[in-house]
Amino acid sequence: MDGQKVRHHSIRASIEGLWIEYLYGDGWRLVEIVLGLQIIGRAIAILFFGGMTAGYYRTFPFVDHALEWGLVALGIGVARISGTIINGRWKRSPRLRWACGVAAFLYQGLHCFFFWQIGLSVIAIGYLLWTVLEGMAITRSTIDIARKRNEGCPTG
Amino acid sequence: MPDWLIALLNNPVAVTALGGAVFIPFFKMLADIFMRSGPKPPPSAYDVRDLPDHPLLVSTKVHLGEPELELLKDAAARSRRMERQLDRLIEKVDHVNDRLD
Repeated sequence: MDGQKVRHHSIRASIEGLWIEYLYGDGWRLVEIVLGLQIIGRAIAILFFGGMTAGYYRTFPFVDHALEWGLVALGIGVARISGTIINGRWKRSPRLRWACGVAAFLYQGLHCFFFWQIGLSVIAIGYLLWTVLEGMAITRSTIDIARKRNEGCPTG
Repeated sequence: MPDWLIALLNNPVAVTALGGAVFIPFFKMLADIFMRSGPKPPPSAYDVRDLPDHPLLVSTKVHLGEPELELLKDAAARSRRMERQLDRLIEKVDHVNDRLD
């Protein structure tokens, strides 16, 4: 929200600025790109560095299909980043951004619950962070869809 | 707890699907709650002329108007008068030119 007059430069003002940036600003798209990069990093780890060969992955669903998991993760990450960039740069396909957010949320949530179930709660808390951030991204893209619906499309 | 429920809650894919079915409508609801706060406030007015045309702000604009505004308006009126004089002079010169040719 450029041009918003800040009366007191305090920590509370910074937090309020971050909150407004999350709800209405363009800065949140960077967070989504970082989340997509994390998923792509995970995909590269699965495909090239044996990310799913650790012993505790034995009971992971479809653990034998590491290639498919890697490609799914790569697809989700690439679609996430492209959805955010397409929506930010050309203001198109907000629902793609939303759908990729949902897919990434389910992906991270699956990992979080799986590691929590095994008892590796440190890894689970790490995935919980990604899950919460993906949830915030879903909320933000829902807000953007509603705003685009309300404001009317100048480019058609 | 029935056995099928225990088996269901033990399956990560099923729990993920259930969690998604719970949380994604919740996020939609959150988005509606955040949207209800209304549109963004307009940019702050760094000058009195940027204030919207509201009857309650008329006195503000009158009292806080900068002196440069009147000087600017005087300069604009002066230049408009000089332009009109110039047009009349050029018309006279064209008339003389036509008479000479």
